Amino acid sequence: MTIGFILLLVTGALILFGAGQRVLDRLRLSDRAAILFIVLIIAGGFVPDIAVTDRFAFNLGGALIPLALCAYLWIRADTALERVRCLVAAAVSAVTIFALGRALPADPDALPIDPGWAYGIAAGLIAYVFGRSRRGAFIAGTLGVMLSDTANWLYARSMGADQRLVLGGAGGYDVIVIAGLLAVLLSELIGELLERIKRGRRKPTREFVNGDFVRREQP
Amino acid sequence: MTARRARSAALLLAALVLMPLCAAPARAETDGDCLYTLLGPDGAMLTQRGGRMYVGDEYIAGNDMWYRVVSVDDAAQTAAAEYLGSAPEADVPAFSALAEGGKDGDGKKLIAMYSTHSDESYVPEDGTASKWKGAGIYDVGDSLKKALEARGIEAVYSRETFLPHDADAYNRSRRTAEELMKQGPDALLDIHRDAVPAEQYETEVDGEDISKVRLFVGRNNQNAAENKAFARQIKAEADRMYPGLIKDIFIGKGNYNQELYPHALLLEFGTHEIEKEKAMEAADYVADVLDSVLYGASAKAEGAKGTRGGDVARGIGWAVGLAVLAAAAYALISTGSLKAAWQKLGRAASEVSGGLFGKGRK
Repeated sequence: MTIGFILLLVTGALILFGAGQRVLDRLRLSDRAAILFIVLIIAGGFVPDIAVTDRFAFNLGGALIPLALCAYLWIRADTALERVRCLVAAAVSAVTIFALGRALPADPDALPIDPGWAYGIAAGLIAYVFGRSRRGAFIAGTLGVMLSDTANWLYARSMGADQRLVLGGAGGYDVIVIAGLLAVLLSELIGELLERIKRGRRKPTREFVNGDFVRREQP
Repeated sequence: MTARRARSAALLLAALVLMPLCAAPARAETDGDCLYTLLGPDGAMLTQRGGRMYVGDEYIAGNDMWYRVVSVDDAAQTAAAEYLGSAPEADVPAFSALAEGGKDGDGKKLIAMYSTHSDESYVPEDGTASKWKGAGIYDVGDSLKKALEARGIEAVYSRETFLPHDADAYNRSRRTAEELMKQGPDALLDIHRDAVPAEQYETEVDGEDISKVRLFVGRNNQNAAENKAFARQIKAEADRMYPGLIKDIFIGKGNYNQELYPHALLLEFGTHEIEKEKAMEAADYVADVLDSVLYGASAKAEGAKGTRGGDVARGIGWAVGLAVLAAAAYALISTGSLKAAWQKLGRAASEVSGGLFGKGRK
């Protein structure tokens, strides 16, 4: 591999690292945990795919680490209701993503944005509607794509194609990771926008510190 | 189990069961239904494409005339282009030091290939334009693989399928592209066929009736300059070796997984209406051209194998610039004022860089 190739690839990885760390930081993870997860996602992407059967495999960084993060966030949810909302949002996202894949034009250039981005935006909106939760958004984005991918694989096989499923095979650049991160960003953006509209020109009463909202002390 | 949990579980189950029912046929662009015509400044047809055209798309015709789309009429499925002049010559490394350092010293010759649109077929032999099993495009890919191997080049052609032919196909094939990329190939090729009338792809090379080949570059990615330069190198060499083989270069909207690799390229071998045999024969000539461009002894070949410093700088600038712009837009939208956005960006930069850049929270 040439120096130029490496420079280009490293730049992409650094941008993913910076953006990913900032997004995961919004999930009530500590700075250190956010960095650890994004490093595991990027590094795990370089590990060869793990084959479960001849026709099904998964990637460490693109599927297993995001799934583990989903499980961690789900377990740490505050209430049972939030956990249920997360799962429902993930299921609805999966159906929406699957339907979007079939309904959108086949050529990526016919869309104003990359289809993978559209999935993240859909998951973010759905998660926000279901629970106004950043954690819910991440779970809806990542799990939604995983479930949709699995359903599509089953569909292709039912149509006679000897298709192979490699969940998260593109590692940190896989649509599973991108959709999860984008969903959080969107959820955050909607939340902040609505909050700003609500409070007008008054100063915020809460601020986001170390992955959690804390009440700002009034002067 | 409480009634609420039972309802949620039922909803979840229903959603998963209903998912395959959403599998209505995607808007396939494989059979010539979506056929756009590019018109030159004089109103004459320059080319057609089995897919949409957009303002900003570029077109380098077979005679190296260079055009850019300035308007699109979706109702008429036409696009108007302005003439930009003669396409710049395919260049040798601008930063020779980088290119020198970039030469692979292991002597390994490797080209990786896959076919994102795994159903693409050729009507005359395959009977249909789209096949879910045994699609004709794999015969063309196999021909290219064999032709490359006959020239001492290791060719890896993934026969994985990425069905259906829908908006998600490139996300699915990205996983295979990423896997192939790990082997460090000299080029990563996505093998396709077009969906325009056959006569546009018919040509004669060395007295043999074969299919032309279109090179397709996605312009929305950080590697676009490098991808485009690679395509121009291939066209220039093909024009010298086998005039008429390369139909043209279309530089369209989208990324087509080309953001993954600087030497990624999409090749259209003929069209759904042309005889597959002609596309398979074209593969033999394309293998010759690739061999010459990537592994030939000329300075031009060395330039293609290395990475041009100017293109690398453009690619990095593109990626970093976009990231900074996105971060600034996000900060501005979420805070509502320039001052607060600046502070937010400063805090983020400080946290990500461990205090090296930006200003941390006091």
